[in-house]
Amino acid sequence: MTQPILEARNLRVRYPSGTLTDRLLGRGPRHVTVLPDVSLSVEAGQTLGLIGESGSGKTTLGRAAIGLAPISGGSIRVGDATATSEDAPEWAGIRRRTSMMFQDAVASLDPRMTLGTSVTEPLAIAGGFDGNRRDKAAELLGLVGLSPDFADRYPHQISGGQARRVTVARALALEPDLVIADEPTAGLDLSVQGELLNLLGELQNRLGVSFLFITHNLSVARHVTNRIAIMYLGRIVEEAPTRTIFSAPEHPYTRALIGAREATGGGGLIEGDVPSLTRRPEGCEFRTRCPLATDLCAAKAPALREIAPGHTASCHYAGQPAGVSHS
Amino acid sequence: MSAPVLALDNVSIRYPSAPAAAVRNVSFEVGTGETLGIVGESGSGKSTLAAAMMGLLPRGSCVTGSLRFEGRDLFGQMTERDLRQLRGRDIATIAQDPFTALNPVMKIGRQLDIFQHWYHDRPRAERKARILEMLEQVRLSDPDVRMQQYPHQLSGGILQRVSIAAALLAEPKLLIADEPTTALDATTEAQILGIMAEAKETLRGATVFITHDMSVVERLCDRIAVLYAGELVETGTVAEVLGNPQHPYTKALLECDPARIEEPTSELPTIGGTVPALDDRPAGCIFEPRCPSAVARCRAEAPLRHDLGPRRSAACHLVTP
Amino acid sequence: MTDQTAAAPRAVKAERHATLRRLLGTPTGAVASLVVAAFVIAALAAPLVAPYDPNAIDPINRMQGPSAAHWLGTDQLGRDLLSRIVFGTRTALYIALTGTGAALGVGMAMGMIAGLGGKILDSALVLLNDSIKSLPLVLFALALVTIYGASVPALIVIIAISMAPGYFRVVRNQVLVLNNADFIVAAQSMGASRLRLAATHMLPNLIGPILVLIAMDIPAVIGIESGLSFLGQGIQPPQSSWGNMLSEGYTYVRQAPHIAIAAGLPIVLSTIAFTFLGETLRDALDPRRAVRT
Repeated sequence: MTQPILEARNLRVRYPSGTLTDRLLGRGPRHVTVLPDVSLSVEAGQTLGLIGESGSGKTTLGRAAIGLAPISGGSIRVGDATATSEDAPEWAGIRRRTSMMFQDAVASLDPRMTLGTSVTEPLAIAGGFDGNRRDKAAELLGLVGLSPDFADRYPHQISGGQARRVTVARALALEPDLVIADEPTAGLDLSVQGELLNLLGELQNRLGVSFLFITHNLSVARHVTNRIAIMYLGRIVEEAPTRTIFSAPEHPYTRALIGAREATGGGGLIEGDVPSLTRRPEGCEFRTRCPLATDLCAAKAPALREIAPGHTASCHYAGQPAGVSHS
Repeated sequence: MSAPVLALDNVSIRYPSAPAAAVRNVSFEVGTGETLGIVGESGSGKSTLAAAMMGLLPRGSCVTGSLRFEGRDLFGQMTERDLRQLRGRDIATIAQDPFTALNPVMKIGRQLDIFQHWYHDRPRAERKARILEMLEQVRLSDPDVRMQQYPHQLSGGILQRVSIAAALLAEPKLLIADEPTTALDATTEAQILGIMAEAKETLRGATVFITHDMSVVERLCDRIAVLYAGELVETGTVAEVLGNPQHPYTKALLECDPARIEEPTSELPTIGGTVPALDDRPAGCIFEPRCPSAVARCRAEAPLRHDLGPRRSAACHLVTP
Repeated sequence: MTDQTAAAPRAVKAERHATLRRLLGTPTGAVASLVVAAFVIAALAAPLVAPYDPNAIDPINRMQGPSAAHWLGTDQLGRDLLSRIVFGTRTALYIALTGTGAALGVGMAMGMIAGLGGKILDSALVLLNDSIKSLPLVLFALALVTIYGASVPALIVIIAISMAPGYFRVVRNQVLVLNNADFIVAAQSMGASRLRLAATHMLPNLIGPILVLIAMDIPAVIGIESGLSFLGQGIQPPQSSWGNMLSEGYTYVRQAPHIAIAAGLPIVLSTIAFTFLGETLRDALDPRRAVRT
């Protein structure tokens, strides 16, 4: 197997917290650690789904992968460039072969820029493009099924679905190896969502792009990803091929997420709220909401370990055949 | 069914200075104890209908047909004062965004007390007891503590439960829930839907659930009304419509839902084309430009409502009663 | 940049036409533009526009009311008021534009540095600007004039110092908001440099609020100039300035009220015109407010 296109190794991201005076006086925590220790990889030409609820750190992980989060430990490797901090010089090269799609497509386009200028901006930034920028804009818009006259429009003049397509065109402008797509179907109608997902799949087949597909929507992830990583409180709690995640989930949180998708009544529901990042529970961080939690879970944090080849989970009771399975 | 709580008959709504009506010829009824799910995508007119049901359309909007609440026409026979009395006492709402729905500078307990202002003759202690009871019913932990907190101290899921409690406190005859779980996470959404399902037992009135999500309707509603581009294309019980959809749009919408596709696929079904613009409506059937089974007649002539049974209909030429 | 070929200029040109259409399309925008244009023409072509020499004394026709020969009448020395207003426009606009321009340059540079440069720099610049703002403007101006003498450059320096914090605050706040805007983060994710972020993405999005501020500041600057001249600490006679005229008219307000009224007229008119121009410009410059054609 060739080496993965993206590899995060023991990545730690923390943001400074509190006001300046609080920090000077030593009051409260100085940092909020969003990602304590994350390792993950995306294979070339594949799609990894990063699933979690809001506050799980999935967006932060996506941003860290392109150098837009304060990395305080570990490393990010894209291709053969490895960066270990937010202001590492390697990011310039990484950003040239990686692009990002944002949750709010309209907001990610400069309101004062025509769409033609926006889609070709990566070329202007990278430099070295000496063709006609207008023709290139038309070509890129054509790639995502938009007519060339969109080049003269402004973001407020198009629909949410069209703005999505424009951001796809922009993401592909430099023919990247990796696209980080943060909730690429957020706010889209069902009838349009399918079109966008099909478009991404088709472009992947044609151009061989890899995707880090960040979403909270398991139903979508089931169709478009090869592997799925489940995040909770900034940690990956389970990772496996997509089929396995649905057919044989090992972590109780994964089971709860799948249950929430199908539940009609009380079955499979988890109670309570996600704990605060500044007050992480001792031991297993999911135990406060876990239906299977025992004394062991309070005493000792489970490590992320391999349950089966290519399938990891961080639960003391993962991989046990029967007896402790949930309802 | 006894007399409906809410009855719409041929309602069309046109916003001031809009080129055409946002909602056209919509008719349906909701009875006591019933939950109706109104399903539609963007541009379907579902938000307009919600605003109309609360009597909150912008000044100068043109409404034709009749929209009756307990037999009284909201737009013909009621003054602004009547409408205000109606909202909050007889008609309660649960908004999409719980963060903006609650007053940020007022404690939860005080806000919930204000929701009972129609019952101000009740003693204070009784009002407080009711609040606690409702907060327990929405399975809020430490209701005493919560009542002393401000909205920004609570998460979206908890706030939405507070909103549900507020709606229950009003004992409304009609509850309108406008996409109440759209802003929430998957596990929180599941919690809220569970609580809503329980709350239905307490609510003796009618409930209207506005959503774009068929699975929400499936979980909570008795009846469904499918809207497309401002028109009602199909209605019936949830079992009938989801089990045996008759209108091509309903069929296509159900096929598009990735949650309903059994086997993982890389080629998801879609509905080609887009919703027609307000000033560019087709002459015939509203769905004809995107309809996979359209025939010549669909282009020429708008279909009427075909009754398929008691309170079950679809607006399509290809449906035979 | 070699890749900025045909596409960009054409789009920009088209957008400029659209902006102009939107500006002149509203009645207030059209009238305000017309009045401002009239002031600008009067200032540029003062010798051609003014019917008389503004300093020509005519002792016989002193304090005459409006007539066919002197449209606005004459002052206590028999000078033609209209001509003095026209030449006063030159003074007023010169000081307004250079003063505001200097304030804009200084304020904007500081605002950008504060917004993009990190916390310590930001705190220092905020402190500096708040200190300047806390100075009582008139006393500060009088003190400077007392030290350095009343002159046009001194006036411009006073205006630049007192107005810069306004631009600083608007630019800094806007930059701080934009720092977290998705489209800025998107540009960062493409590898855009700080300079590019500032020039390509921030600046165009700052123009709206800045233009409004400029348009609101110009009348304020005119007011400062008139005020200082009125107090005898601004433009020195016989150079004509609206403030001088107002001051002189004030002396004779009982005998010849038309002098003060004539001097007040351009101050009021320019204030209203610039304010409305600012308002409509802001709307016209924002493509989001444009009606799709």
